[in-house]
Amino acid sequence: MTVLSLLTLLFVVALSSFTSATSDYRESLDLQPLPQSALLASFNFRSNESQASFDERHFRYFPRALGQILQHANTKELHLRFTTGRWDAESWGPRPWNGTKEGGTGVELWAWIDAADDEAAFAKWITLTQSLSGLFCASLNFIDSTRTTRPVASFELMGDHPASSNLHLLHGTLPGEVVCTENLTPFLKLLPCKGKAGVSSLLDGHKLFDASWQSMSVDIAPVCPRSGECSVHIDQTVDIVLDIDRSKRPRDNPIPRPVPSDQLACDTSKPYHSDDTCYPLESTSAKGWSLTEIFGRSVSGACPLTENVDQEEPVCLRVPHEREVVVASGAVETKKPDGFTRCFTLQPSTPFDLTIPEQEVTTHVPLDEPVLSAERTIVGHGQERGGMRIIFDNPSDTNSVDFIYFETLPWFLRPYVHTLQASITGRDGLHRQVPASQFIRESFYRPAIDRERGTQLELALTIPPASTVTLTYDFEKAILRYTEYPPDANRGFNVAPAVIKLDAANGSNHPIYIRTTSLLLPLPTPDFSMPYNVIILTSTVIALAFGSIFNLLVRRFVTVEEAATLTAQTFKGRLSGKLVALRDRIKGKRAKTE
Amino acid sequence: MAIRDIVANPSLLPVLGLSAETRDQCMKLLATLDPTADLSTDPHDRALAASREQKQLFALLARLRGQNRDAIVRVRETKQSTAEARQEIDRLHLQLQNLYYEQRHLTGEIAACESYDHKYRALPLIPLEEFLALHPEHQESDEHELMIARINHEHAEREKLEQARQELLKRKQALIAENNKRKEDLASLDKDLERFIDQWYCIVSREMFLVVRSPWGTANWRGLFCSPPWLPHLHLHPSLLQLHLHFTNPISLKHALVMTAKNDDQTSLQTVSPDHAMTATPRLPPPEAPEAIRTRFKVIAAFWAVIVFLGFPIWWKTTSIYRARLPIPDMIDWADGKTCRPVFPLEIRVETPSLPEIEAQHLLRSTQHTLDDLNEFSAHHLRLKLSNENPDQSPADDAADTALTVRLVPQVDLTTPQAALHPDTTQLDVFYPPSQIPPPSASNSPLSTFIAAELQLLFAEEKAIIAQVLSENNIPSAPISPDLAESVTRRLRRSMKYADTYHLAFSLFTPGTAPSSWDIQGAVHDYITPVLRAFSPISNFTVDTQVQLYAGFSPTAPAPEYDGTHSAWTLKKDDLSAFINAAEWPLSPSIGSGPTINFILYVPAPSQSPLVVKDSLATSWIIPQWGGVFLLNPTPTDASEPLHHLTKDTLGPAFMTFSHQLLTLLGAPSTPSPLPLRLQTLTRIRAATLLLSASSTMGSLARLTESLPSIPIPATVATSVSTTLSHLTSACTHLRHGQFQAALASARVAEVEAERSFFEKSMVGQMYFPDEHKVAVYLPLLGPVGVPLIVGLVKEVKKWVASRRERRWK
Repeated sequence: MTVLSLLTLLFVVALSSFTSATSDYRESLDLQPLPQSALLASFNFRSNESQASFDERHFRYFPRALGQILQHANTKELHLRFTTGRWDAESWGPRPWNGTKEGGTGVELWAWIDAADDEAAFAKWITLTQSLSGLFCASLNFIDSTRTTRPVASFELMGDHPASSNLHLLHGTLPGEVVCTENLTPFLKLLPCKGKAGVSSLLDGHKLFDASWQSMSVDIAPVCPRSGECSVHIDQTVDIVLDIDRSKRPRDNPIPRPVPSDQLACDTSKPYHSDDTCYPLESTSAKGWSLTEIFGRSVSGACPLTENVDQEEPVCLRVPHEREVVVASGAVETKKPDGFTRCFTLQPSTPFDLTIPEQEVTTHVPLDEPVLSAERTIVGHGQERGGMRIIFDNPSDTNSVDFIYFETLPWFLRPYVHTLQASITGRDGLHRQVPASQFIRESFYRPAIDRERGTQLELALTIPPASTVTLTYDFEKAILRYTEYPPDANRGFNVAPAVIKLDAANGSNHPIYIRTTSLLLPLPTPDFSMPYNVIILTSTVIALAFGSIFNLLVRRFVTVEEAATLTAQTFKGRLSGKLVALRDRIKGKRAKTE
Repeated sequence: MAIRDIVANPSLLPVLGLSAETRDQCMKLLATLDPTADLSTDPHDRALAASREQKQLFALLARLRGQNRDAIVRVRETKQSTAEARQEIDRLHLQLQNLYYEQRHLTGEIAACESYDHKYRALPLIPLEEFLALHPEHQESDEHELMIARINHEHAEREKLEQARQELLKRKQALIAENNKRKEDLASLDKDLERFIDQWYCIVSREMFLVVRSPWGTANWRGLFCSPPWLPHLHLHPSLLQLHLHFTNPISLKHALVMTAKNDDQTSLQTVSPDHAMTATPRLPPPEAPEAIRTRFKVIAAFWAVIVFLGFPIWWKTTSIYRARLPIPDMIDWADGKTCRPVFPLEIRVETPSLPEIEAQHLLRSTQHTLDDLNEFSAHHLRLKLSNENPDQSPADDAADTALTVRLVPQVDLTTPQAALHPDTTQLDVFYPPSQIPPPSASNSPLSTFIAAELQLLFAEEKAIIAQVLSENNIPSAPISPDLAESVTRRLRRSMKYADTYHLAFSLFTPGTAPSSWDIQGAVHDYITPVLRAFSPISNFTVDTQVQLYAGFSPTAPAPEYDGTHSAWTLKKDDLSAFINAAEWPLSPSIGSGPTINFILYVPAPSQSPLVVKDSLATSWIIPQWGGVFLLNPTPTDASEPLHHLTKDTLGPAFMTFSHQLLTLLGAPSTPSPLPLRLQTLTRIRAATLLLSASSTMGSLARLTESLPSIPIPATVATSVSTTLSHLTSACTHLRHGQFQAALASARVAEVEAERSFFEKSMVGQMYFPDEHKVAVYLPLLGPVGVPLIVGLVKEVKKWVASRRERRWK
C-alpha cells in the first residue's frame, strides 16, 4: 500500500465525514518520517454547525468570527491557504491530501460568493478580504482587482449548494506575503480547544515556522446529505515538514555543532583514513525522535469535545511495524494491517508523548512516484523583456497525463501569447520543436488591463507518457508609475505560482493539485529622487532664460562712466552727503559740549 | 571622698544620719543573726533579740523611707524653681540679644546715612575762593548755607548759558535756510547754464562736437538732432549712418550708441588727446526719452498683465479646493441651542366615564392647576385632556402622542383615593370615593391633589434624566437634587450611545470543557426577543451567540479567593474590571455598522464553584457601555457530574438578568415599572439626546471648517448638512407638539446625516497636506522669476510716484 493511497483514503474519510454530520468536532494528527531526516506532520480539525443555527447565528463549535464574516460577505464556500517553503516532490513524494489543502507560497484565497451580478460579487469579495485580513492578521486586503481572477476550470465546488443560488468564484493570491506566528494565533483561536488540549496543543509558532515547508488551510463548505439537515462544515489543517535534526536542537542554543570526533562513523577502508582524516559513513539507521523533542512540548491530553472519545484514535504514525515505539501510559496502540500504520488513543487530561528510538531498519515506507512534476522559471535578460518557461515532466511510461494549467500574471508583466511555443524531449534525450497545439486541448485567455486586472491563462494540456514538455512564451515588462513602486522596489515583484489541477487518477473522484514555486520579477526601477531633481533643474533653466530676457527688455543701457556718475549721483552721493552731515552734527555737538 | 563631703545640703543631713543609723542597726541585726558568732546563748533568746533588733530596724527603715520621700519632694521643688529661673534667664537673654541686634542695625543705618553720596557733591561748581570773591556777603555763612548759595548761583549761571545757546541755535537755523535758498538759486542758475550750453552745442561746429563727444565715450545724440550741421557730419562719417536707420527704436538706439562709442576708438580723431579726456568733468547720462520710458512701462505692464490675468487665475483654478457653502451661522445657532429649546409637553388623557362633563372639566382644571404649581421644570410639563372631548373629531395630523391614560373609577368603600398602574399598558387607574368629587365652587380638592401628586411621582425620574441631559448640553433646566442627579448621571454613563443597529452577542465562557452546549435558541426566544420587539421602533437588533471553552482568566488578573464564611470563591469588586480576558476571549465586535453589546455567561470551573462577588455576593454586573456579565454557578446536585448541557431552566435567571441589563444599557429609566411607559420615556430621552448630539455635531463641523481653511468641503456634505438642519427643525417642532415618535424618527435621520457629514472621507484626507511641500515645488521657479519682476514693478511705481510729486510741485 502506498502513501498516496493512504492519504487519499484519509481524504475520502474526511469527505465522508462531511456527509455523515454525526460528530460535531474531530481532530487528528498523522506523523510520517520522510527521507533525509524530514518528518511530515499533518494536523486536521473538523467541526460543523447545522445550517439552521448557522443562519440564526448560534455558533457552538463553528467560530463566530468566521461565521459572521461569511454571512456579511454572502460567502457560501471559502478556501484560505497560508503556505511557506517548497514541497520537495523528488525526495518526499506526492503531496499530503493530494495537494488539495495546500496553497501557493504566500496566501491564496478563493471563495464562492452568492451575488446577483459580477459587480456585486466583487464588492462582497472586497468585504470578505478586508474582514479576513483583520481576522488573520494578514495583508489579505491587498487583494484588489489586479490580483483577483475568476478561474473557469481550475477549481470545483466542494459542498452542496441549492440550485437557485447564483454563485461566483473569485480567486486571489498574495505571493509575497510572509506567513508567520501572527497568522497561526488567530488560526488556533478558531479551534474549540484553542490549542490548550488535544493535538492542537503541539502547535507552537517557533517550531511551526522553522519548518522546511508548512501549509495552513481553512475550508468552509455547506454539506447537505441526501436525507437530513444541511450543515456548514469547517475543515482546518496544518501540514508541516520538519527537519528532525534542526528541530531537536535546543531552543536556547540553536547553533549546529560538529559531531565530536570519537562519535564519527568513518569509512576505514579508505586509503587515506587516519586519526585526523575521516570519510564519514552514511548512517543506515533511521533517526530517533520524540514529540517533545520535535515540537518542544507534548500533547496535553485529548480534546474532550470529540465524541466517542474511546474509539477515537487521533494520533497516527506511519513507520514500519518492526520499529519500536514508546508511548506514554494510558494510550492504546492499534496496528493497522497494512504493515506501516499504527494509531493511538489519547486520554483526557493526561499528557501524551511518543518516542521512537534510533534503530537499524530494513524496510522503508514506500513513497509513490508523483504523477507529474512541473517547474516554472523566468528566462531572458535585460530590463525590458523576458520569457517564461514551464517544464512538465510525465514520469509514467504508459499513461499520458491530462491536466488544467492555471496562471495569473500581474498586469505589469505583458505576455505575448503568439510566442507560445512547445518542445518535447523523450527519454532518448532528443529535443524536438513541435506546435503547442499538439498538447493544448483547450485554452482560456483573458488579457490584462493596465492597473485594473491581471492576465488570466488557463490551458488544458495533455502530456504524452515518458516525456518532458517545455512551454515558453515571451513577455514585456511594463514601466510603473512613480508612486506604484513599493518601498523595496529593487527586490523585485512577486509573480503568483501556477496551479495545476490533475484530473482524478486511480478512479477516485477527487483531483490532485500541484503548485509551482512563486517567481521574482525584476522590473526597471527609477531613481526615486528624480521628480525633485527635474523640478529644480527645469526651474533653474527657465528662471535663467526668463531673467536674461526680462532684463534685456526693461534695463536702460548706459556707458560705464555714465553709470559711475549715476551711482555717484544716486546712491553714493546721497550716502556721502549723509556722512558729511553726520560728521557735521558730531562735530557741532562736540563744539557745543566743549 | 566621704558622702558627707558630697552632700552638703542641710535638709539632707538628717537623712544621711538616719541612714547611717539604720545601717548600724542592720549590722547589729546581722551580728545577732550570725550563727557563727555566739552559739552559747540560748537560741530562743537569740531569736528574741533578733526580733527586737528587727523591729527597731523596721522602725528606722520606715523613718528613712519617709525622709527619702521628703527629700525627693524637695528635689522636685528645687527642679521646678530651677526651671522657672532658667526660663526667666532665657527670656532676659533673648531680650538682650534683640537689643543688641537693634543696636547693630541702627549703627549700620547711621553709617549708611553718613556715607550717603549726594548729587550735589558731584556738581561741577566753581571753586570756593572764586565764589567768595564774587559774593563776599557769604563770607561768614556756615558751610551748609554756603553750599546752598553756591548751588543757586550755579543754577542761575546755567540758565543764562542755556538761553544764549537757544539764541545761537535760532541764528543757525536762519543761516541754514538762507544757505539753502542760495543753493537753490545756484542750482537753477546751473540748469540755465546747462540749457545754455546745450543750445550752444547745437551751434558749434562739427569738429567741436566730436571733440566734446568722444572723450566721454557717449554720444550726445540730442545735439545731433537739434543741430542743423549734423547732415554734413553724416556725410562725412559713413559709420554713423547706421545710427540713423535704428533711431526708430529707442532701445536699439541705446545699443547703437554704445556701439558707436566703441567704434570711436577706431574712428577717434587725432585732435583728441588723452589728458584732455582726463581733465573733462564726468557727466550724467541724458534723461531718457519719454518713448523709452513708455515702452519699458508697457513691457512691465504686459508681464504683470499675463501674471495677474492669466497665470494667477490658472494657478488659483488648478490648486484651489472645492468648498461647498455651509450655513455656518445656523449650524452654530443649533449647537448653542439658540434655534431650538427642546420642550416635552406630555399629553395625559383623563377618562371619566362616571362623571358629568362639567364636573369632569372642573376636576381637570383644578388638577392641572395643582400640577402646574408643583412643576418647576418648564421644559417638561404635563397637559391633561379629557378623553371624551370631541370624540367625533378624528385626530389631527399634529395631534400629540398620548403619554398616559388616567381612568377615574369611583369606588364607594374607599376613604382615600388609590392609584394602580396597569402592568402592560399605559393606563393609570385611580379609585376614589365619590364624595371627593370637588364641588364646582371649590378651587382645590383632595382628589385633584392626589392625582397631581401621583402623576408628578410617575414622571419624576424622566424629568430628572431630561434635565440632566439638557444641562449637560448647557441648556438651562430645572435644578434637581444632587442624589437624583448622581444616580441619573451614573445611569446615563452606563448606557450605550444611541445607534441605529445594535449587535447583541451572547457568549458562554467556561475555563474547562463543560458545559459545551446550551439551549440558547429557547432562552433568547423567551427572554430577549420580547424586549427587542418592544424596542424595535427605537433601534434594530441582531443577535448572535457563541460557546467558548478553555477561556481562562488573564494571567495578570487577580485570582478569586476562597471565602470560608460563605463557602464560596469570591472576586473583589475592584478586580471585576479585569475579569474579561480581552486578549484571549474572542469578543471581537460584530461586522457592520453599530456597536456590539456583549453578554457573557461565565460558568466557573467546578474547583472554583460557586463564584461570587465579594461582600455583595452578587453574581452579575454591568460593564458600562460594553455589556453584562453573569456568573452561573451550577447547583450543588450537578456539581459532582460536570454539566454538559445548560437547559433553558438553568439559563432562566441568567437571561432574565441579561434582559434587565439590556434595558439599562439601552438607557431605559428604572421607573415606572410598566414596560410601555419606560419605552415611551426612552423615546423622549433618545429624541432629546439625538437632537442635542446632532446639533453639537453641526457646531463641531462648523468650527472645523472655519478653523481649517485648507480642507475641501464636498457638495455631499452641504446636502447632508441641509438635511440634518431640516430634520432637526422638524424634530424640534414635533417635540413642541408632543409627537415624540415622529420627533425620534426625525432626530435619527438628523443624527445619521450629521455623522455622515462630519466623517466625510475626503475631508479627512486633505487635512495634512503640508505647506512645505508646496514651497519646495514652487520656490525653485517662482524665486528667480519673481525677483526681477517685482523689482521692475517697484522701480516703475517709484518713478511714477516721483513724477507725480514733481508735477504737483510745479
